[in-house]
Amino acid sequence: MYNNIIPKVLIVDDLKDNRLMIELTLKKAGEYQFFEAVNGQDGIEKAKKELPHIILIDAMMPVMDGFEAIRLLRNDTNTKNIPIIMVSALENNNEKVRALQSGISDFISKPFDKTELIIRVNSLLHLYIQFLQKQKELEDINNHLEEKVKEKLDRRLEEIKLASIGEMASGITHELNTPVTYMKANLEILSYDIEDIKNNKKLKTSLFKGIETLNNGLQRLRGIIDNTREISKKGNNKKQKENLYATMIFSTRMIYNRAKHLSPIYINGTLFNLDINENFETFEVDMIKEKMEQVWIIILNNACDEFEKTSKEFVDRKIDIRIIQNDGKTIIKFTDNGTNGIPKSILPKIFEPFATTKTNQGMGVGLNIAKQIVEQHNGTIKAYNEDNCAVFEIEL
Amino acid sequence: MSYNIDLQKISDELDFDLEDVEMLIEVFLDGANESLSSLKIAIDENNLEQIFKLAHAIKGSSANLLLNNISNIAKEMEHEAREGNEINYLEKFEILKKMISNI
Repeated sequence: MYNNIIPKVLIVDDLKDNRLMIELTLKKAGEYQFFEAVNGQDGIEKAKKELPHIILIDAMMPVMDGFEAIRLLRNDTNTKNIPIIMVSALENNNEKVRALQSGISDFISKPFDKTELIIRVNSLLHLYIQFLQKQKELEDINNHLEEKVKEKLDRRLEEIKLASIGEMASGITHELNTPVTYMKANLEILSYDIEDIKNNKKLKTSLFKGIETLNNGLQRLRGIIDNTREISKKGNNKKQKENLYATMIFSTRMIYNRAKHLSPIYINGTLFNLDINENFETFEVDMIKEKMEQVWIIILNNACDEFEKTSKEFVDRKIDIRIIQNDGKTIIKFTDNGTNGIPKSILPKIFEPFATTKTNQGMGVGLNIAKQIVEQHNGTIKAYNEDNCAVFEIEL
Repeated sequence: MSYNIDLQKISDELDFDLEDVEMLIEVFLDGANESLSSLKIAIDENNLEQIFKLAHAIKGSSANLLLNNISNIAKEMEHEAREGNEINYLEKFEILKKMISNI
């Protein structure tokens, strides 16, 4: 009747025959657990101990009467919501009003009508047990909510942290831009001056070597500055239909100068060379061409970085690019066997900015930029290991 | 145990089993006899508040068992005591006592 709960009924009356009368009446209507108390004081103690689902209480009792007991029950957090029916032979209307004002849920006159007692008890029991169940559900939801909020807050804090690091970095790089620019300009002027040196060829060569080194350094610095800016930049370029294969050929050409010493590159099974026609295959995708090209370059450059560390024979090395289009979805999969896959420690945060294994090759913002671009295209990017190879898979 | 009242009739009217009614009567008699002793003392002491409470208890219990004659006398005493009237409580007490002992 009440989701397998056998309702607990507390009967508070100083006379045993009155208590018995109520029990016998209810017993005919269903299954209940009965608890008895002989006065108000006793009633409060039993109520706190048993937490009944309903209390039937007499008005006039020795030691503590029903009114005082009700007042105290209503002031206790554990008992304040328990339904209370006063069962009493109060004749006077004032007393009935007083009873109703004291916080009882219902009033039944003695001698009571049995059907009436059963109906009133059961309807209050039904409501209260339902109330308890709802209360419990709510508590469960609340507890869960706390966890959820905490989780969300932690994540948000992490985001804020990263955002402020990004802001700081972009501020710093912005400040760096100016000195880099005039260093570069002055290096150029300096190289003209060196050109003018006529009689010391050895000195001239060594100075040029120094200039070249400085230039390389500045180039790298400029790269870092550009990358950092890219993180905070919110592009609003318009997407249009492009041949994704062509962008891949374009990007591979860009890095080919570096890659040709490090690893062969295969695109959909064909070994890449500079003569491949960029429309050799067609995969139409809505995209911002320049941005996607940047993604390919970042991933290919990362693969190249891995091959810098390996001692594998050139013929055993491989960067494999697969483009598959199916059901309106395009999957681009980059696989490289440069090292034995991505270290487990870095894998979960590989797309976070500054999560780098590289000690001397940039800031580790490339993949974060790649992720931002892919997400701008409503796509997903994931990194995982497969057969001792590192895999970057983009779905658009 | 046999009684001078019609247990079967009470059992039918209350819609309780006969043994339950018998048990109720016994419990009632225990309580009522105790109340009567206290009531006698209260009357002797002219303690109207006690008279009121004890008569009230007897009234309720007897009404439960449809013992209306007893219930009515107890009710009269309860009312008079509540109003503070000094009537001949002893006389009513004797009637009450006789009725109860006749059960």
